[in-house]
Amino acid sequence: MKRKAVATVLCGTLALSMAMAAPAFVNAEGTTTITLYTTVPGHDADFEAFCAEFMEANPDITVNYIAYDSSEKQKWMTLYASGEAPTVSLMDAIDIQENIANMAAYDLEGADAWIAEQVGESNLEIFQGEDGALYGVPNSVQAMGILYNKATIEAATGEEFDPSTIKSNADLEALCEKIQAGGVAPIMFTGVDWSLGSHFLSQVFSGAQGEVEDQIAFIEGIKDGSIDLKTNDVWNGVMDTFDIIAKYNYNSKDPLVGNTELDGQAMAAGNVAMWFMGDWGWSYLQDTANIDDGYGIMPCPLNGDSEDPINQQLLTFPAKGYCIDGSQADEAQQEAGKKLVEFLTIEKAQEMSDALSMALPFSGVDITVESPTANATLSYIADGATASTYAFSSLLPSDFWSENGAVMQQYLVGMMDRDAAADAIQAYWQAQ
Amino acid sequence: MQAKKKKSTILVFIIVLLLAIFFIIPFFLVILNSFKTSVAFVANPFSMPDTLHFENYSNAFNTMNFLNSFKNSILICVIATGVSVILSSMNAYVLTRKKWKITKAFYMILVAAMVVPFQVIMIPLVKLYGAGLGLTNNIWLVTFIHIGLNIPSPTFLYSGFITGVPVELDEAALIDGASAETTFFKIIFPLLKPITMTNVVFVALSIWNDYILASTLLSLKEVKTLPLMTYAFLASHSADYAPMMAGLVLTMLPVMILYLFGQRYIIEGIVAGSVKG
Amino acid sequence: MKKKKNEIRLFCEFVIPPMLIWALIVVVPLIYGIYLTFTDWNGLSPDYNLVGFANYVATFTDKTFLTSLLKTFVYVFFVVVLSNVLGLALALLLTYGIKLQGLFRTCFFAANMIGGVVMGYIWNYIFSFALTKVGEVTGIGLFETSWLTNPTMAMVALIVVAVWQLSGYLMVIYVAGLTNVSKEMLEAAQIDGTTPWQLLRYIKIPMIRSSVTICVFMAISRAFMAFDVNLTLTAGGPFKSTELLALKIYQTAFSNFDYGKGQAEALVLFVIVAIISLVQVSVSKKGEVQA
Repeated sequence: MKRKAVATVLCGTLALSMAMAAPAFVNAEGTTTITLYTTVPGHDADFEAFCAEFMEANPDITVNYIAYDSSEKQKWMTLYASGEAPTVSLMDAIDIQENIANMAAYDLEGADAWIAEQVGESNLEIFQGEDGALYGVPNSVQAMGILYNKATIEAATGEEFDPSTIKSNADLEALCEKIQAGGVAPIMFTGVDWSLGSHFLSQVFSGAQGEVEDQIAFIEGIKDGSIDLKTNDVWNGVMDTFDIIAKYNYNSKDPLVGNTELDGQAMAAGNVAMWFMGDWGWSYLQDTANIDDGYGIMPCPLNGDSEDPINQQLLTFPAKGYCIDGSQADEAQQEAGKKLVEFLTIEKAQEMSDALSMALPFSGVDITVESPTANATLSYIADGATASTYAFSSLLPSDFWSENGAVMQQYLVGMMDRDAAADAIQAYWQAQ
Repeated sequence: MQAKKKKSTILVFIIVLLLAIFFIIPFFLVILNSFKTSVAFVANPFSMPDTLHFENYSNAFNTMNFLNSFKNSILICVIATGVSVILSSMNAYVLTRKKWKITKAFYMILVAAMVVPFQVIMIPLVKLYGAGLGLTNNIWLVTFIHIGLNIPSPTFLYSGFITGVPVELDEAALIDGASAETTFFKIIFPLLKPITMTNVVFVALSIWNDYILASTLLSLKEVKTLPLMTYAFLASHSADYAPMMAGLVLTMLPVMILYLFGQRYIIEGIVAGSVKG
Repeated sequence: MKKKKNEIRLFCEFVIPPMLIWALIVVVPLIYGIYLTFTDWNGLSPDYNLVGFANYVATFTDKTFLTSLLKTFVYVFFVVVLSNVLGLALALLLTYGIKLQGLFRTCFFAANMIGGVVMGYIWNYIFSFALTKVGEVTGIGLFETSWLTNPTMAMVALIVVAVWQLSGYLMVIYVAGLTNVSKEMLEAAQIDGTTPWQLLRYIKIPMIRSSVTICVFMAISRAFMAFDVNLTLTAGGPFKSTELLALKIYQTAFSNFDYGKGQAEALVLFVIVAIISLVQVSVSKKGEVQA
């Protein structure tokens, strides 16, 4: 009796799995089903709402949303391996480059001509393949640098604060000194590998080296050993700034706790005046901060030369890009996917900016950006006071932040001196 | 002598009590803080809640799509556990009773396979069955894989136990004219009840708590299991600690309830079962 | 003749189905996985090249792999020893005959009810917020800064959590073994005036040798495979100081888009664990026979 039961269960399971072999979501006649995969943490509900609106506007397209997964690359790989490649993925530029063989290019001459009209060349180059074709559309433009709370600074120093007066790291140090004398912690690092390893350290390789070709040449020089990072001026300038921030670091008691939320709350509460982060830091602040305090972002000075323009140029970059799968999606799905991209970037521009508290790289849309720090970014862009971040977005390998973030963390807690850190980073490059 | 024994019993009791507190304090803290606000948690994890913030629970319950993911988890867990335990018992019976070359070889291979890291087979599994058969986002495939993964260790535990069951029982039944199949299901299988309990508990726990397999094969909300939704919830509320605690409690709750009801049986079952293992 | 036919039928009914399912799920992918270690596949690209043993050579010449291996050995050593000592101690205390024995067993086993991912999170909060609060209030230096930001203490934290969970599991198996030690023998020994320590050393432990074998085997394989807790408790940090092998493999394969090499590392891990467990089981089995 029991044996029969076993056999039934077994056959039942097998039969069911065969029956379910057909995709869980069967297409109705004439509709196209596509998938959207994003890697922006904490915004699944927003994206799901956008997808619902898109489906309402396009009844012939069904969008299945694949939620953010904290192991974002593993998820992407398994989706590809399982034949479920997302039609549209929102990924870092470098990840798109790694997977370019599977990507479908945008047709800038034809249906996707809007991209070239809306997005400037500097925000597109990191999404271009070696063939010159475009494989990604940026979803936002962000900046890394020093966030400040004007009210906190002015209360501590008793003087009016103008970010344009910070022209060198010596100026930054003088400001920190004054703020500290006023009884407030001047500045902080969030001791996580991505902030120190990806953002701070990338400053050595990006605009401070010059234009795109100079950045490529610099990295080549590091790899072949013709440049010694230890004695490189840019490296030493950037690390001088690092030392200043570390010296006045609000988190110096336990520098590696690395909790952006707690740091944001500390800044909003006026316990610390400045923060090496990026304009997205507003999302950690907005719940508790008083917007009238005057928040903004300014460039992180990279050397002691107050004449060097790099010290006054903000490092801005398109954060992530929408790419279209070309290996598993058919023509109709690619078309539908591109339509979704246009919908998310242009039609929903205002809502997207509000949801992510970010500025957008689209020239043809008229939106109001709520975040004061993103607005500060926009004004630097409007003034042309930005520097190239090509190396940051396109030249630093996928594991750069984790490998070298570990080096920077050890430097921060004093387990490594500057030369040892330089050697470790150079060794990383030479192993590439 | 008697007084001395009593004294030491009290001492042992106190030591055990202190250790037990250390063992359950993490659960206590999670439950306590699931009723507070995130700010209150950061300020002092040990403080009592000012009022009971049940909204953490409704927040977690809704975001985790609790009922649906619970249903998926239960389906996978019950079917896979049932099938894998029954198949393993049959497997172990023949592998242990029949001393053939092939049964010995199978047994050795199974034991060695208990230490295969899941990462080694993860992507190949996905490529072969996900892409090859188009079975992604299919909870039956996940169920089937769980059955396959949960053959070696129950077989291992069963076979240890079956060795201790007298062969005379089988022989007597065979002489009475029963087939080997009937002998197993009518006579031997009921005797295996303690170890069956053990296996059910261990297998069910490992399937219920599985994250990595489910995460590789299930990506649409409709088919996600509870641990997947928990993790997604935790990842997207990176600093909203109080609702996260509530989410953790919700995930643990079903197992905890089952455990509290069946604790005596479960522990005693394991104790009885692993004696000979 | 009929007997043989029956036996073949029995084999086909009882052994083939489970072994077939198992082979489909484990063996076939394993073989495919071994094949992939000889390729330079990045995990995404539609095509890849055969590269021979390059991934294995790269694995054994990779300093970070070897440090991670070393750390894993340290971790496994402490987890196996401590969880077995504590598990056995708990089992001895809980067979002493105190009140509420059943309830206590439940408490100690409770940690095994929850998955590794969730557990890592819970302990993360405890180390980051609860213990630092204890430090703040009491001024005990050990707790003033988070354990998770210090390489040594983060490793200790990982070991504490693993022992916390595993010892309750092993306790149950030891309790089972101890309840099987014959009462007469213990009473006889007590009348002879043996000390509790002698009782443990010369009677109880030899009598539960088979439990020890199982427990050590389980502890070894669980400790080598540690992944979930590693990911959610320390994520390998600070600065990769607690990146155990299973996590390292995962990072190589997925974060670095180096699937072939990650797969080769995983296979090396498999071989190491298989050899160690095989040696352990056969050595302690021999011990059992003598006892």
